[in-house]
Parts: sequence; structure tokens; C-alpha cells
Amino acid sequence: MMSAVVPGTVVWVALAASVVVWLGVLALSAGRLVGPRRVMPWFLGSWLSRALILAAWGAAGWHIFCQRP
Amino acid sequence: MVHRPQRAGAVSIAYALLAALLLALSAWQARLSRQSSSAHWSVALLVVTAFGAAFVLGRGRQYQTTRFWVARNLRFLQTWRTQSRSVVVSALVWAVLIGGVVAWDLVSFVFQSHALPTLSYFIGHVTRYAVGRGLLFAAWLGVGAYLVSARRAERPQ
Repeated sequence: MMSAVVPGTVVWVALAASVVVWLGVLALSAGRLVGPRRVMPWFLGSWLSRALILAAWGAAGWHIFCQRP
Repeated sequence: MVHRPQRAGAVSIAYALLAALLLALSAWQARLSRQSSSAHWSVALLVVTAFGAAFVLGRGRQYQTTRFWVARNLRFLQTWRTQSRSVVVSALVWAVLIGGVVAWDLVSFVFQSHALPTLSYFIGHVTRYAVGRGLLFAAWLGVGAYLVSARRAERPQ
């Protein structure tokens, strides 16, 4: 039996498709656009940004492995 | 004095041991449930360890000061018209995608409706199985190790 697709799921699928399309565009841009290899170093460029992204990483881990099924 | 090839070998062994430790930790974590105190303590300890390791590894090896980083980004925002089009388009798309995911997750979380599942609801379909939980935990550890150790300047000789 198939469950009904709820509106929220449609938005998530659209976001996931956007990410896939964007990664495809990045792969075809041959380095002209800013890809993940330049975005991640930007996040890690300073103590503040590194601490913030580490805090987000820790909160995500706590939520996924200690709170969600 | 330690010769360079010997040092490189020691570093490789250290990385291999660390990878084995992280895999063993993931295999152990795979069998835990989210309610178990072992899961709570291990995740909390790993987060604290990550912050401690980031501090120890990063002393004197962070590329930019926070003030410089903030000023540089503010300058980019103020002068976006003069930046190259590819950089502006990239920044805009990244901001929309990351902001979209975070915003939609927050909206779904706030309304707590079956019609608006959160991102962690979908992740829960993976972590309810031991294999999924173990693999996702290994990925989480890998991301954490990257965030702690990547983009470090060399120490001055």
C-alpha cells in the first residue's frame, strides 16, 4: 500500500532536486562557479565560523542519535 | 631528530589507527538505541572531544582572525556589484539552498504536523536500522574529523 505524499515531502523533494541540479551545474562549470571545495574552507576560515559549524554538527549528532528514532 | 620518511610513516599509522577506532565506535554505536545512556554519553563526549581537539590543533594555525573574516565578508557584501558574476551567483545559490533547508526544517519543526515532516523524520527511517545508524554515525564522525582538522596553517618552523 502506498502512503499519500504530504505537502511537506514535496518541498523536501524539490529542495533535494535543487541541490542535485546545482551540484550538476557545478560539475559542468569547470571551476568557474564556487563549489563545495571552496565553500567548506570558507566556513573553516575563522575561529568563530569553525566553532559555529562544529556546534551545528554536535547538535545534529545529538538530535539524530539521541532523540530521533 | 626524526627523519621525514619515518615521520610520514608514523603519521600514516596514526591515521590508520584513528580510522580503525572510529569504525569500531560506529559499529558499537549501531547497536545502541537513541534512549540508551551509552548513546547519550558517547555522543556528548565526542562533541566535547571535537571542540577540545579543534582548540588544540588550531592554536596558532587558524588562517584568519574572526575580526578579519567578518570584515572580509562584510566587504564582499558591500561591494557585491563589483565582484565577478560567477562568485555572486554561486554565493546567492548556496545561500538560498542552505537557507531553504534550514528554514523549511524550522517551519516543519515549529508546526509539528504530519503534513510537514522534518528532515530528521526522514533520517529516522535510516537510523531505525542498525546498519543505517552505524553508517550514518561513521559519516557524522568523518564530517566532525574534517571540521576539526581541515584548513589549518602550517606551524612556523
